[in-house]
Amino acid sequence: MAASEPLGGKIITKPFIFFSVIMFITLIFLVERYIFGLGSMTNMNDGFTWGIWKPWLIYIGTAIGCGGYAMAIMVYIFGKGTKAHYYPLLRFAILTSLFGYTLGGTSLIVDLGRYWLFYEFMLPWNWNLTSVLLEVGLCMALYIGILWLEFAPAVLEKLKKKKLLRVFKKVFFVVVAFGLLLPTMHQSSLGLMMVIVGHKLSPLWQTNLLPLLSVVSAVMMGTGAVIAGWIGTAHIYKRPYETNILSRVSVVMMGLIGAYLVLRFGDLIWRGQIGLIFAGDVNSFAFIIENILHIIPLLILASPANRISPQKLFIAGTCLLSGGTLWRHNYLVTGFCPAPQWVFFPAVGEVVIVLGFVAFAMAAIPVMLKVLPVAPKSDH
Amino acid sequence: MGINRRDFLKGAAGSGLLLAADASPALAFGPRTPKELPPDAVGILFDSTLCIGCNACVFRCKQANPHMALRPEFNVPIGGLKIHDTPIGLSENTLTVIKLYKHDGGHSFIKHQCMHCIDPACVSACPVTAFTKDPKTGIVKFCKRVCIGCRYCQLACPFVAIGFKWDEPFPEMVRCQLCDHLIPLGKYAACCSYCPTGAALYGRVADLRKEASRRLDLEYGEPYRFPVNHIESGRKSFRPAAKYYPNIYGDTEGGGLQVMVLAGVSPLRLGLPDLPDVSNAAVSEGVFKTIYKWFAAPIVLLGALVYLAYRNTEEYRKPKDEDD
Repeated sequence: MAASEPLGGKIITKPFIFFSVIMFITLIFLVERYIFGLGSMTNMNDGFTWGIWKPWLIYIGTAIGCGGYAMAIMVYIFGKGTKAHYYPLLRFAILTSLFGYTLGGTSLIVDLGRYWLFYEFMLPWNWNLTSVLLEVGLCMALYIGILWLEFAPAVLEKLKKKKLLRVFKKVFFVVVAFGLLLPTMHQSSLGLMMVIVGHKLSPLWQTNLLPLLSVVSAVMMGTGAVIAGWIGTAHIYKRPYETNILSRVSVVMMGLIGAYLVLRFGDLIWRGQIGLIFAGDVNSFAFIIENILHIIPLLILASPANRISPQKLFIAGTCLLSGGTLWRHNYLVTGFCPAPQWVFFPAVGEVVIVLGFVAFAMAAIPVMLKVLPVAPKSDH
Repeated sequence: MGINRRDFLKGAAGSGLLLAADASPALAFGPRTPKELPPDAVGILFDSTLCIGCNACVFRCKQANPHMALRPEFNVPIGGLKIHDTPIGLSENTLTVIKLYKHDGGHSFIKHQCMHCIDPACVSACPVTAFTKDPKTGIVKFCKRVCIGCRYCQLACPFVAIGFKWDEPFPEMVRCQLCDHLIPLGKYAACCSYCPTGAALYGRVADLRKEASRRLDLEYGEPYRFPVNHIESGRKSFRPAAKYYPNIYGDTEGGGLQVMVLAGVSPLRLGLPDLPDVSNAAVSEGVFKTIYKWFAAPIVLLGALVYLAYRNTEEYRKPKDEDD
């Protein structure tokens, strides 16, 4: 395996201080939320009951956090003989996943109305086996644990626990297998969760294919996060861009984007709803932007010269990330209409809480990169 | 550059496999079998043509459910003061509400409340089984003891008939339970027992369905004895029949509802959603239960993944001194 090393450098930087300030502001809103209830600082209502927290922190946050899942697929399933090529970025990908998922899970403490009864969710005699949310919750909780195990080698290396590391490496494949199974399960279930809302979701998004599209989109978003994230990191910390890995990844991406678009449009035609694209309303507009953001990376990556250019790869990765983000936002917020009398626009407090979680990741990920052996070792 | 055709094909084939593994159940499997109406299920028949909009049901509902701590809502200033309980919709303080819809120069009242679906989405969706459907009465009950406040029930409910106490630090969900706490006392739904005209009529769903079809068969203006309060109460209101829109809303809509609506216009024009005859719960569970039948697919997939991961981490398992 290729070795990793810490990036080193100062922990307290200007960005770190900036993100810490955002986190502090978030704390003020959190105090309000716990004293006066959810209604005091959000615009959530009985119609738009999920507001933007579950869509952004769970649906989008964990999809961005699918980098570890996507890279693990490439390394462990299709990587026979080629793993030396993908491997260096795997740890970086798992780090992004770690944050995407752990923060998503943590956000439930803020979002759940009756958070103090969270343990009831874990008690098997309460389980409702027809509930898709039950599958998502349990599977995600398990996966957060698996991610920390997948990341453990970096910590063990840092602590120089060699014996433990050696034992750990022997059984690591079991962890890896669960790390591949669980996201397949809960990412598809996240999509399936919206099937039960029926007519409340616009036919542009409502389909029984939501589970399948969600898994494919999660892999694309995770990969987009790794591509854009790594190029950004490499640019800031003056590291090699690893374009040879990224270009191989982006070839796989082209296949996936193509498959996603074929499924997406094929499904619309199959259900006879393709005409809604031209309805000229907010939904059709959102749909068009969402799909343009999927088509641009496909066009960029089609040229082999672009696949080795860090700038073009960064643009493609960012587009993939925002396209998937918008798709999720659309099928949870934009395209969702419980009944005509309900309206929703997120309140300041809601947005601040989301930003607070993002700020935590932006502050903590660089620290992890600097302290722990995560980034691929540079040769020079 | 190291992109060769073989890798690309492998990648493409791999993604294809991943897709196929997921796609086949979703594409091939339809909704699960619909739920049946329990023979002694109780419900409400709301006849919009009889409703005079007196709001007695709204008031009595709050009075009959003290355990839910439903507060009055002062939304409309009357004579400069906000003193009357004037809810404008269902909420954490209002389990049923009468709404006025204007159409073609006329108007209709409609009673919004939990429709007690025969195949309820909330029961299917709740992860901790806080919602249950009574096997005898068919009433959809809610037990707050285990509720974690995830609000997936609200998202799933096609009628947006579940309220959440947004302004409380320790909130709970609130919804109509057809006054099931009054049944042991020999009483029934407060909204019906106080409805002066029989617009909201309580009774066995089977009886109510027969009553509804009888009304649809009436000629416009034909005198008819409309049962009042409870279909078995014996109290009748003698009056000419209005012109009915030929549909019992809730007979088949959404897999069938225990609260049904008759109106002079299409119920869809009275704020009720246009639901397919297959319930959303059946559609969702059809896909879900196929993917997770016997938990076989995940276990097989896990087996394959353990094998692949074992094969592809051969190098990694060997003890090496690279960490020194």
